[in-house]
Amino acid sequence: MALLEIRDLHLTMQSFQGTAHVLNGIDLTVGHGEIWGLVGETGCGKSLTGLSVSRLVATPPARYPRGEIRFAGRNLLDATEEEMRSLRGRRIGMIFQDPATNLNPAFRVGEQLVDVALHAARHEPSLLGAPSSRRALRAAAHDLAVEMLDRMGIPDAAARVHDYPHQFSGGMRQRVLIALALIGQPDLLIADEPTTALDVSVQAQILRLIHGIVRDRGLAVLFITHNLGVVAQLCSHVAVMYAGNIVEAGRARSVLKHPMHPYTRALLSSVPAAGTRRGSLRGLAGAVPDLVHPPAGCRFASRCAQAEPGCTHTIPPLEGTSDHRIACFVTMRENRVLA
Amino acid sequence: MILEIEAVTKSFDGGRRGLWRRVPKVVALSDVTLSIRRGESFGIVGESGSGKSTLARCILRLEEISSGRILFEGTDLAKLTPRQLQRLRARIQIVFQDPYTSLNPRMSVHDILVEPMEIHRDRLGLGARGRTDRAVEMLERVGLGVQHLYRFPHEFSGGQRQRIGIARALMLRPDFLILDEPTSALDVSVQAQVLNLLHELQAEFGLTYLFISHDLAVIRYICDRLALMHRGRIVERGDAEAIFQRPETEYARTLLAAMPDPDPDRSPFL
Repeated sequence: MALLEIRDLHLTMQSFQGTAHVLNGIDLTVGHGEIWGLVGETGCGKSLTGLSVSRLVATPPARYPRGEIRFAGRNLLDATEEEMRSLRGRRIGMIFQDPATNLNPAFRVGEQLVDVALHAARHEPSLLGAPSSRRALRAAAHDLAVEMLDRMGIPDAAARVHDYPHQFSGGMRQRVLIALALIGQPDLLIADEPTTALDVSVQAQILRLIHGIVRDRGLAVLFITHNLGVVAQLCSHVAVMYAGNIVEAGRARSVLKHPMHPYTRALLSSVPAAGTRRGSLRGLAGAVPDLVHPPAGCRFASRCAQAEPGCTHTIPPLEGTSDHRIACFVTMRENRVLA
Repeated sequence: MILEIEAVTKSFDGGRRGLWRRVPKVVALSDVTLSIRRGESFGIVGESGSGKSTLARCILRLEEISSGRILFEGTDLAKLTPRQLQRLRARIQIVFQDPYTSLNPRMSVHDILVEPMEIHRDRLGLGARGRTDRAVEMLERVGLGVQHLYRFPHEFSGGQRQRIGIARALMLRPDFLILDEPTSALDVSVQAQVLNLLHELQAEFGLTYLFISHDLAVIRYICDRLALMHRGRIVERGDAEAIFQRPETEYARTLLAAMPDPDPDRSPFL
């Protein structure tokens, strides 16, 4: 059994315009040691998929009419808030995009790390050993905080735990956030655009850090990003999302080297590469469909060059091998003809 | 040469700490020298805080430089009278990074596009009708239509707003356009369209671009020559393709190596 199994997940959002169908049957399986890149453009539902796993989407306005999210076998959509709190920070770690707003400016970073460590230790006592007193417990948590910062490559960690977030640079703050996410020794890390706000050289360091932890500890990662270069470098697997659906998924190498879905192909050809002649970049005309009144059938059909009349009747299922699956009638049929 | 920047230094005084102490001054640009040829796309690349945007603001004279000279077609910008400066500003325009904050939410597209022509109406000699016609013409040129003329910024997507920002910058038919991270707030598929639009407009209006970005792939795609900035200094400059293929300085090499390659076979973690 895989660590995280998302099955046919639907998410609707109540809005003034009506009910928006934000996620439309997401299927995703993440195992230990796998780094899944979740890519797509603004509003495709990649962040909401991540937030749903940690159950941080407010219900209402959101509703989960169908589907399940199984974490180590347990369906998180049935879990109580109390149960979720025992998982967050302990078995599920999270990193968000903006390191400036996700740390509390009024507390020293050490205290923030200690808080999470103590919270995690309530559910997993072995984390801090077996201290005899409250004071010893705190001391153990403090030592763990220093150790985590040190492992994240923050120089002079023993002194820096006493600093406030504003005394750290952007890249250093992001390391503190990663330390916060990992201090409970989670099994699953959800990283929502963790490097988007950072410079490329800092981004490279953060990616190396995450990759090292996955290699050493067998962590499973859901890495949400819109940067295909980052996916190519870091991820073992990738799922491409469009308007609330996964349209292509599989091993990163296979999907990025041999993209099959028209949307993935358009996305990849939008990124300028070495030797792209000026003016020859393709891009994608048209706009994302209205999620309140989504079109019947394939949601990409209105912008797709190879769409056929049949595409607008039924939603294409995600088919193929476990290494590479796509949701496109036309591509599947042509591949069968070729095969 | 359309623009020459000679040994420009810009420092900001440090803020106060308590009653007497002052933080040491910040040197945002130190000894920056470069020249931009008419009709080319010149890229400025660097990480955050390297001084790219300060340089743009100095060219527009939104900041006064501490020392050095900036020459536009041979005239020193610092020596212009306010009147001459205003006249020159019609020829140097800018497109900002964030399309969500660079358009006034209370102005319609029409008002946004017509405003520059009203400011410079003495020289343009266009009546109200003529200004509106010109706004429509430019709106159509950037891929929007007359039906969008009386709408407000919130009714548009990020890519459409950036097109409005570009149209506004082009209303006065400038020669020189500063593009300060014009696509970094956009999705890649939209970015591709905006980059193509900029490429077409350059040929059509004979524009010279100063393209500021931290995205090396975008710079490589759009620029003929580039300068790489680091901590307020230019560390490398020259033909864009040559720098990408044979970077000379250590900093350029580390920056290029850190750029995530979209080819999974070139991952450093394999």
